[in-house]
Amino acid sequence: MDQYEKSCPLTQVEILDVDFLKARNHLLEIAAFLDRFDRARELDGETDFRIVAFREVLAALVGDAPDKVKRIQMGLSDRHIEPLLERDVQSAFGAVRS
Amino acid sequence: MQYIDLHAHMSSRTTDDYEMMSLTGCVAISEPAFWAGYDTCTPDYFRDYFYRITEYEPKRAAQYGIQHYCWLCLNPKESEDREMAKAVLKIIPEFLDHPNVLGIGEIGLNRVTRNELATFIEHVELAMQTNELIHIHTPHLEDKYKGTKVMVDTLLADKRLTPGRVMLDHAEEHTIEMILGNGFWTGLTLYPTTKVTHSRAVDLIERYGTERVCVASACDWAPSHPIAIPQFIGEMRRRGHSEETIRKVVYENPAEFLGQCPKFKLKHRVPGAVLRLMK
Repeated sequence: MDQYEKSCPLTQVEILDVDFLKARNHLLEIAAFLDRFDRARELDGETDFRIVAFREVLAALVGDAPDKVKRIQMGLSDRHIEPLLERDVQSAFGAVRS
Repeated sequence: MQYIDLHAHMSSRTTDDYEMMSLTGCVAISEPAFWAGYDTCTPDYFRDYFYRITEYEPKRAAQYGIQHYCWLCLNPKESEDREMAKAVLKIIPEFLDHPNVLGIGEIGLNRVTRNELATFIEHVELAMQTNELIHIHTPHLEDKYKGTKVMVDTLLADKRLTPGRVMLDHAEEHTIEMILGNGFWTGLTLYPTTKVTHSRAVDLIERYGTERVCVASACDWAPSHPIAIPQFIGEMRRRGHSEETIRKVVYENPAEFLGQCPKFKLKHRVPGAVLRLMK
């Protein structure tokens, strides 16, 4: 069902021409977020599950391995399929709270 | 290009939004039962809410030439409350025969709890009693994989159920395979921060094809965009996809899924084959 290679009809140069600046901006936003986190008035979130998970999945962005989005999604997902005994909070966090 | 927004919470939107959607080609909307943004205090609220989406919203939509359909349920955001669920499940049959009700939805899971799963199964039971279509919300963020897996396993264990009559909505890169691979329909929700952007939705179409895949704005009172589908169409065109492929995703597919309910009838529908002859 899944076709990965050559599934986008654009050439790499066409993708760069249109999407490079947008992707560059997203990359700078991530870097700025991490800098802001380091510059925080109080360093009270260094072991927070969200930033720990965030730093871990960043590794998927580099290297040649395919399916980067899926690997990041799974890195931020709860993979234990046993239902919770009761609802803890109303809204999800974006990373698994241990 | 004409399109159908299969998931739009119009009772949370302004009349200006109906106008914008109409001007950009929207011909029909289906509105799944939603969450008020807070847990409601009384089941009586739902009788008023169901009245709104079966009587009032169709009239508001019709002013702009849009056909309005809806789905009924207790939304997963509130399904932890078993007493509320039992009370709402008794109200739903009062409205099921209404001409714009397409089925049961959007049921599903939120934090994936035992109570939520029990409420989900009771809604499926209700749907099976009168052979209703089922529209399912898959959870947000870190709960999406887990919730989708639990619901797919639960649905597949019920041999009465036909996967082709079930939409598992809000698919993303890590859940689309398990949904489509088991014969269900899926929806890609075009959101600015959560779910998928229109460019990621096009990526998924390129990888997994157009069979049993729809796109929707899922616009509600949170950050969302009522004309997200035209933005998706623009991205598809930019990448060079044919008008026929785009029309299949934004019009033919939702018409095929929703058309399994005999109440769903598009006015002035021009079949794709006729459009091709006209070119």
